[in-house]
Amino acid sequence: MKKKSENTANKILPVAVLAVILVLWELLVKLKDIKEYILPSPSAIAREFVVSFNLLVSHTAITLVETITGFIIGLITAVFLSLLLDKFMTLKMTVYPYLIVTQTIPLVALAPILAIWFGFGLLPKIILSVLVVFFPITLSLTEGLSSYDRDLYEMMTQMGASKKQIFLKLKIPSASVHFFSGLKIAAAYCVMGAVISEWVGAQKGLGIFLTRAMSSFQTAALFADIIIIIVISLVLFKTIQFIEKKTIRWRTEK
Amino acid sequence: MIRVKNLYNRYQTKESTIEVLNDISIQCEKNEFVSIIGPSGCGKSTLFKIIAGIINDYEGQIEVQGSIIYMHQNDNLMPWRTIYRNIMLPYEIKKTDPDGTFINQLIKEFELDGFMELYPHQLSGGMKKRASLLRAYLTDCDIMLLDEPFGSLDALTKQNMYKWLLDIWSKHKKTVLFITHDIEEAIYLSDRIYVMGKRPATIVDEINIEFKRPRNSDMLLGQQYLEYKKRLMESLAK
Repeated sequence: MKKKSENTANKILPVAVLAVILVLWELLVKLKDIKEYILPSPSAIAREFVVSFNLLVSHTAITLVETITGFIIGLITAVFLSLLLDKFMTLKMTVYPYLIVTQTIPLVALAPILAIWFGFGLLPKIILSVLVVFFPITLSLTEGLSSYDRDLYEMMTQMGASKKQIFLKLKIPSASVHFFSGLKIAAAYCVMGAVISEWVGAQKGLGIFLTRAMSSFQTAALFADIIIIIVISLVLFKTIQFIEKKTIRWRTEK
Repeated sequence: MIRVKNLYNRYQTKESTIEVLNDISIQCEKNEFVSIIGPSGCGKSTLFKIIAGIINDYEGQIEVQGSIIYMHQNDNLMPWRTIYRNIMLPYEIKKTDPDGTFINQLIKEFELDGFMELYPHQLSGGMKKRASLLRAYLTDCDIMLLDEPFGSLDALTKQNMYKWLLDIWSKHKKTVLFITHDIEEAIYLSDRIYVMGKRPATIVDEINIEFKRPRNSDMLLGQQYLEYKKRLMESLAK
């Protein structure tokens, strides 16, 4: 019983803190008479959501398409490459260092290059999303596939297990924990890839909306945009977490 | 049946060669319970791994009649599988169908009924050991190599496990080669005990334990037990 009340307290507390901050923020803006283009009040941001609802929805839709397409393609490529790297040791040794190098290139630098090569359509956005998603998943899955218990491996070999059986019954389950932690990181950053790419130039999307709002000093719209990005990232993250809990049940029951 | 003759094992480091096993000769007849006792780090596990075929780098002769399963010090249960799916692993690997009544009978004997749908982390140390032993048993082997199976258990649980293990062993005769560093455990369980010395390990003594079977813990209070214990302690101190 006590545990249950602690749990609800854990959930209520962050919400309460947020509410207090919002009220203080609102008061600060009203009392100090701060201009809306410098710091819009929470109510002004809320108004922006109502007024620009259709506009925000249409921009969000585009970014969502880019993000999710990027996520899925990135995921598939990452899984495919990890399996290859696991199968061929020499390939792993050759490719692995370059994988890390690709991650040192700043996204802000990569976005314009992709725009030069592929224009301002959906393609460069999806590519950047893929790149953001691809790395953490490849890394975690490759590590995961080689992190299995050596004693279990010996035991299975003694029982006469084939390579395929060891892969399916030992390596894959052992990798699942690593895999999901990579997946969660990828989910959290995926939207950012799309947004940064849009920033450089796009017809539609939260990124281009962000630059437009900024250059016209519509700070409330800017905040609204940021909130949407946060929400999308969180929803993606939570979805993965939910799937993780369903898949790795043996761990959640601890 | 296991016959090891003049076995040597060494490994090379950058500076020198380290002798691990030095002229080891042991035997274990069919359905015999033989223990190897020695200080930790003396190379007992290496000997087991060589017999089990996990380490292939050695000199000497090894003759094994029958199939072997080597059970590690830790339980080696798969944390993502329920106990039932853990013990069924041997059948899954061999792709054979288990005999349901036989399995159920064994689950009862191994005192695991009612725990089949739980995960390893939900079980106590003793239960995990029994599950692990049951899985080893179900691999349908003739010889079991048990590497300090009760090392991590508390004294009380150990006592229960001894009784239980001997009970199981007398019902389903198997050849058991048993590693331990516990003198009492070795005397209680074994037909014969080999004493291994410090590195490089050689066999320094061999003792036949004449206690009748079935054994009970009263044997651990008599004069005979003390004599065995004294001899083992002296051999271990050599």
